[in-house]
Amino acid sequence: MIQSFETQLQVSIRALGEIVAPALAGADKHVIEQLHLVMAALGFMQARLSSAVGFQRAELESYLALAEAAAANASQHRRSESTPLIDAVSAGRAALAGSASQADDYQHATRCLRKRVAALIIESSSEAEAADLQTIVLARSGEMIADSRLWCLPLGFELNPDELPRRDWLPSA
Amino acid sequence: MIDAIRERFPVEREIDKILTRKMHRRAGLSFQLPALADLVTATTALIGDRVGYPVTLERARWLSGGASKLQVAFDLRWRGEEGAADAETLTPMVMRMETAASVTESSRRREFEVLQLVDGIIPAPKTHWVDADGEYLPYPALIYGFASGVAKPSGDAGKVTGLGQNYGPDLRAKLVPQFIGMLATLHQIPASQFAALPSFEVPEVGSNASIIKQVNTARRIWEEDRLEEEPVMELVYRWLVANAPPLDHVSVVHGDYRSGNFLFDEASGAITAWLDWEGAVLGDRHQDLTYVTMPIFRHIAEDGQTVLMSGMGTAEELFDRYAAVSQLTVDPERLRYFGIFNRYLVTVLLLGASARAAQVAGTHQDVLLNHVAGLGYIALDDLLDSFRKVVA
Repeated sequence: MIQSFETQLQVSIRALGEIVAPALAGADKHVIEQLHLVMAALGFMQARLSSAVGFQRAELESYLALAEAAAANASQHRRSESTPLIDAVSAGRAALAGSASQADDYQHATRCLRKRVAALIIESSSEAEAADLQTIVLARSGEMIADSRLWCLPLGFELNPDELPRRDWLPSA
Repeated sequence: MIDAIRERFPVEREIDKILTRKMHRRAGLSFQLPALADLVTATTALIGDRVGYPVTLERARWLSGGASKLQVAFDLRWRGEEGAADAETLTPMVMRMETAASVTESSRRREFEVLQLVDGIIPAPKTHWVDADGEYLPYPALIYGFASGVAKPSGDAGKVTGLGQNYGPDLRAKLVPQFIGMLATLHQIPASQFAALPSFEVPEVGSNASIIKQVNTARRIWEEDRLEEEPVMELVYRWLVANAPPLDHVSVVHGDYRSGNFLFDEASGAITAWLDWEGAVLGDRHQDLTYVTMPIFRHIAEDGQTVLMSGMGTAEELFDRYAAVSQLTVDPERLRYFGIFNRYLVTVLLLGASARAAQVAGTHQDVLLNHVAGLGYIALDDLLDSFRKVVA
């Protein structure tokens, strides 16, 4: 098959930038603005398409580590309500181990873990448990949010991109 | 589901109405951009009914700018403010209408009321009419006078780093006293005038109930709009509820008071209009004070070192000036609290409301909202960083 996603994006961006944009030179400001945002959205896909599986997998791994620490904390505080979290951890581990897993599978598993960890915060049964869980979440969230910022880097909002971490899921420069 | 969320996160009555309406709208079709001609027809009918005689709209055109509302500029041929039968004048105006979804879901009724209240007190667009329930227009809308002035200097203000608007030293010197003076004036509007704000609940001094309602507003938007959970947001919400300070003074709070949100006359440096009043609340002045200092509105001054808040001055300079002008205290504890509150709110609006509005095809500029949602992780990181410091 010669029709690749990469080429579709490349030809679309080029047509919009080199043919359509100059032809809209006198158009309303908001029309030109939307054209450039469409090009930015396509450019984002172009930059991240090949990294999607790696990113979603890495995000799932990070959330599994957080969820396992949260589940251990719940267990330490003798909580039985952590069962849904333990189930979500099992599902996440299965997605990681599955040879046919896709980016969507990783994303779904991550979202389940996010939901279960947040629910555990809401349901904390004691101040001690809540404080310990807060420490765990705050300690582990920085790196995960940095990864999200790295994923969004092609959108162009970062003032100092070099300060963001390098990750294996990124294509080598 | 809607009722369960409403019960879980109690908010002000008018806010409840707006957020509930948003959820009902979501079940319908995606937003279709109305034809300009149809909006002109509806606006003409609205104004004609309000003034009681036929009017005409001329030179109607789309107005760019803003990420939350649809705007049409036009010249209104009418009898003017006085309405004398033999008078005829042409007045530039703007029709500002909601879309099916928004980065900031808000009440046109409240926006109208607060703009009427500050008329003659703070420079702001003069509001004329409101279609609060979308009786004439496809969605609720306001009609206000076209405000003159620019939002940023036309010339190059010099190379700086930071996202915030740089006005340059000369203009800055003229703007700072107005920027702070107007904020102080706004916050000192006496409670006796709050009767002009029937859509706002008036908080009690000594109680933190109104602050918790504001926190709940943000939390409810997060509950309704987020595309995925974020545990940090849950931690911060719990902290904001547990640590909400009692009000020591009730102020009209603008809610989006910052660089880039006012117009000024470039020749004189006079601020001509404060914009975007849709987030106004009756609450704590520290909400506005900390909003001015949000990282996204900062930049480094010409000396390469000084961090200018909203392009105006250091936080210390601005707070000292504010305290002197307003005769209201600036409390470090409340600054700390509202610093977290504002970061939480901005994160909700970017990672939650913007992303959702784009996903449900709820606006005329989904592509813009989708783009700015990408800023949400920078906002979340900033929130995390600040939150770690307050709980350390």
